[in-house]
Amino acid sequence: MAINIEGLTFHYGGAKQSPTILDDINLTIPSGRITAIVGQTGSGKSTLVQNLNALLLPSGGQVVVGDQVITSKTKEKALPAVRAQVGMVFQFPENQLFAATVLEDVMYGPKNFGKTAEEAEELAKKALNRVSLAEEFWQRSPFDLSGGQMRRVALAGVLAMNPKAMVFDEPAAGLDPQGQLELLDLLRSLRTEGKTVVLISHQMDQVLALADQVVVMQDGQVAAVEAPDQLFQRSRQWFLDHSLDLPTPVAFAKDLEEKGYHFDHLPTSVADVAAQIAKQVDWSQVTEPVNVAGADWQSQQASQSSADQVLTSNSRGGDLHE
Amino acid sequence: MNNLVIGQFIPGKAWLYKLDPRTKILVTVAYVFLLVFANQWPAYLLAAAFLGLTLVLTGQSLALYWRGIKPILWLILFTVCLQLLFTGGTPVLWHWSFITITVPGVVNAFYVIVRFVLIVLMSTALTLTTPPTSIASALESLLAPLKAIKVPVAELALMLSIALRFVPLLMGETDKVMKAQKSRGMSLSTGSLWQRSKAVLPLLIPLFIGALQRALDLANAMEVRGFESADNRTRYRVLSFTQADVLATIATIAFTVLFIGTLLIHF
Repeated sequence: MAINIEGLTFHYGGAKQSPTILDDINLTIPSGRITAIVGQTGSGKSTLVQNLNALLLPSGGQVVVGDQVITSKTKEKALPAVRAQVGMVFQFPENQLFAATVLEDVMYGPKNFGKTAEEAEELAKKALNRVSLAEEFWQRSPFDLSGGQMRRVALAGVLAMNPKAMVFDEPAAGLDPQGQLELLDLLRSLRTEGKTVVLISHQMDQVLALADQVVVMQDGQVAAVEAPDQLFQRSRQWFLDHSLDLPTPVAFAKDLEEKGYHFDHLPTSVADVAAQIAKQVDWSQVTEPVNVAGADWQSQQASQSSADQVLTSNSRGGDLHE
Repeated sequence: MNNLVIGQFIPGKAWLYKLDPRTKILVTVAYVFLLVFANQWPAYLLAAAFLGLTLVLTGQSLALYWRGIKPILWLILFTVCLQLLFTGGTPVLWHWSFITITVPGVVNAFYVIVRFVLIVLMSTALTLTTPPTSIASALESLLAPLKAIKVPVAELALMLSIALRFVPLLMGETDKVMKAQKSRGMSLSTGSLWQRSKAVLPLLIPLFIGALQRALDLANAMEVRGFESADNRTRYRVLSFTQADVLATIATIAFTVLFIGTLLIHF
């Protein structure tokens, strides 16, 4: 299910003097793809995604979700139908848990959207399995769980609603590296199922690894809509101007390009950078021990994996081995 | 929710901002106390004039005060209805089965409106021009004599200022949790009364837990920064009376004398 945003403007309240937060946004969020929304804090990302499931109504323009059109005049009664189709996972979603047991909490959404208790339980169990929360926790209070487990429960609470599109606002914030990897896998599997996924993220490595389309927001406007391999070809200065980071492999490749290395395509992972460099190094010249990496480097000098190791130690996130 | 004017502080540079918060609190308390005794229109007129002067000295637009009154209109309306319906006396203006509306009822209702609006606007002028922390430290200073009878005044003032600090935080938090639960299909506007009151639970529980967690975090943060007792602490902003306070006091005394005068004279 695609979401179309047409001439969307948004400001709080009816008053004219209140500042415009979103200014004439035109955007298509394609079905069955992962769209990443990036931009500095205050650029309007969160406001934009809250318009996607009618938590906020447009001040002008419209949002078309499947066959439902949301405008400033849409009636309160029509909103739950939109929210059933677009699931929203807020930042730190574990703060929304309330029920006596994990299972009941996950059943809350499906029940609200008209499922019977049995159906809701079925969906909840499926969702809990999907976020790999062991069955022994299902009857416990969600407040007895660890932070990471609570996050899983909260994610399951939205997954159980089985929406056609899902929006994630910084879902990886505060998760341990393993948790982050699992989350990225979850997003990929949602895409495989044909769900429309929207992801707000500040971590460009994640964006590069996951997204099919990147939307760059600045001052309430869309600054760019491009595929990641196209977007990250832009100059360093452009990213500085938009207060954005480059993904680790791309930043590394750009550094090397300045030193005369050549890349046939923009590297999408650390391993990709390594492979492309390995092709360019004249290994017969490398006879002296290299000081930086020491003996370890010398013993494996011809192998690509050591180059990979050196490069990995340069990268900040180790989660990019695809 | 962000449009709430009552209780909000808006930074400014007008004359009223220069007053010591203690003066402002005392004047407000005196004003509200005096209004309780008002029973004739000249007294109300005088009180309205004093309020008018105060509002002008806040330097804020009158439209702002109108926005402040709007949310409590229904409350005023409710009190007016009570006055209209349950004040007896003669002459009777209108009568229908159990409803009787009398002239004293109408007069009382009118006075209630005026008194309500005057009190609300006066307190709004206080909170509008005084940061919550200043109100807390002013109260601490004003209640200092109670320390003699072992009332923990400093602790109470600290609790008050922390509580005030938590109001905007909790409002933000409410908004967040509300949106999260709405996304999961929560609806507060449908279903029977029982269903609706049950629907508030998914909102209240996360809020309470969040507030407790925040309070614990704050307590820890205070302790690691060496907080031991609220007593005998120095402050960044030291309260001091100035010429403006003398002027305000004179004006208030003049108002009080005139006001009592109107009460004594029967028109």
